[in-house]
Amino acid sequence: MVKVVLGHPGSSRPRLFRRAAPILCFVLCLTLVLAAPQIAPTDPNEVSMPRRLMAPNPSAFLGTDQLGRDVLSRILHGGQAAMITVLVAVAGSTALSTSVGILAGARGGLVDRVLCAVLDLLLAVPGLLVALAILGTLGTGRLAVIVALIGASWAEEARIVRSLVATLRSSALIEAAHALGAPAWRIGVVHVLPATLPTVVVLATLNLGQALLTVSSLSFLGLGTQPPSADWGTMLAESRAYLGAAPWLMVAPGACIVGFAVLANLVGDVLQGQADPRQRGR
Amino acid sequence: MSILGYLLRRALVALTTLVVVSVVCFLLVNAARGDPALIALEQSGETPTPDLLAEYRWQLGLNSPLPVQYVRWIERVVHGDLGRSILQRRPVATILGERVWPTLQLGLATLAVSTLAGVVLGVVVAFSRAPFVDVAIRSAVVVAAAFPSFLVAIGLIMLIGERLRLVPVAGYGSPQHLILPVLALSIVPAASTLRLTRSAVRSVLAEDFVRTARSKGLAEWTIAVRHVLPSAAAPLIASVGVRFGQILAGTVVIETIFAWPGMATAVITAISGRDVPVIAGYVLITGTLVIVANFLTDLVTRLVDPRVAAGAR
Repeated sequence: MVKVVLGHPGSSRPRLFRRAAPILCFVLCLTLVLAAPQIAPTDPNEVSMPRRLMAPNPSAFLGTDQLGRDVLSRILHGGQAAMITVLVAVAGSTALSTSVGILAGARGGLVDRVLCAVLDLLLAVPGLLVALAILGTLGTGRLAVIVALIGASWAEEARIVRSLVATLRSSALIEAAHALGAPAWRIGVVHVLPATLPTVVVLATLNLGQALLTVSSLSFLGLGTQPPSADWGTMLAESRAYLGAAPWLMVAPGACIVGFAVLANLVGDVLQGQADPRQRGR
Repeated sequence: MSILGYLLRRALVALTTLVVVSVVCFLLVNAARGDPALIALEQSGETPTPDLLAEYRWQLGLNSPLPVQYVRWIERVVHGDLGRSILQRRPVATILGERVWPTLQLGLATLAVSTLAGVVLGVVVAFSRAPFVDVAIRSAVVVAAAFPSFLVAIGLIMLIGERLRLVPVAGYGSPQHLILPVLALSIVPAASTLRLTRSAVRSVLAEDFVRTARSKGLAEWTIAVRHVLPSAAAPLIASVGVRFGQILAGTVVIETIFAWPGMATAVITAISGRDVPVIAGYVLITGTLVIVANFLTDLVTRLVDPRVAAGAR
């Protein structure tokens, strides 16, 4: 007997769950971290020497560090610091790369060639090197880290947006707009921008995970968040001295970084599948 | 296009990139150093009057336009003079010069290990018909890409270094010292090589000559090594240059953890202390290495796959 399955295969319940689950988890984590001051059990910088290096227990769910500070509170507050940096940087990078990509792709000609040459040049140099050069010039504040993150990631995105827009340029949609006499900026904002949006959103999500890894690396090296404030990278750096005695100091921030980066990548994959059905099932 | 034409073209691109990187470094140093005439006068213990300053500026060539100053600067750089470190009061070329080789050693070893591991695993995954192998490896790749290298490093130190005491956890000198840093640094590039190999091999597997080889009754591994890999090699080779750049940038983190005497410690101290000449020197040296690697990659890709010439814009 042949069983006939009605309906779109993508709308079956397990599939829907598989797509929605990463997004829900991601939003939940983001909310938790951004609401840190409201939900953290204690002050993240409150020192209490009698309580130092306590293993996870009911009074401190994730244990305490070498100064008796509550690890859970530090994770939440540190996550908030890292996340704000990452979100601002990704927003900046996306805005910059989208505008440059649309400008180059939609204009074509000399503008396109010059911008492409610049982008190729930037792409020839690794992002982390660009970030280090920027930090070296601007110092090590949060703003400098944000600028460094943007510098490290925008060129690649701009290149992708540009080639997408270049293929759109000859499409009937844009030709019709031209024929109607729409000014260039209007075509760019009203017609081209919405068409690039799915790709841009996917790129931005994938960039979230990457940016968090870079921020954590910089903090780990002592070039990001400065003590006594902490983020996940600095917490890991501090935990190195107590690897044997207090492994929980390493596990919590490490798990947070990896978990968040994996989630961001999964969400990116899901969104990519929505934006481009041909990618589904790959 | 002839191979010589292609070579010249790529060389021109590499040279342009190099010039732009050096201009950026020059501007960095130039913007950060303050007024050298004032500094020179203060060092010699004289009171800086406007007349004296003007004379000094003329003597130091500071009145010439920026492009002329750039040419003088690049002349000194070519002769191995990268200026002096502000913090250490030593020539930048000496500080970084003795650290380039350890960094390069780490980078090259990582490139070799990650490429080998990525290609072998990628071929295995592409050939395997068991669905769970594919799923397992793909999940592993997603997770590996999310692991920051310093976390891998700490994990390795805990597990292999401290628990099992198999290899030294820090330092430099013997081949054993390379093992942990190279492992920690290899995870991410190995994962991306794997993904690339898998898709390159998969696309070749659909070709007619592979079916012919199968119908001749050749063993799977003979098909893989003799028939599939050579056809799938071009995109793999083409990606080596970029990957080497990423590895080289990644050494900064790994060197710090394993007390590797490469350029990382110098650079991080320099960034914290705003020691711009050292930072500019580092960017210039690393940039040059990456650009040379990209150029060599283009060249080898062209030699291996003549189709590249047609696509060379």
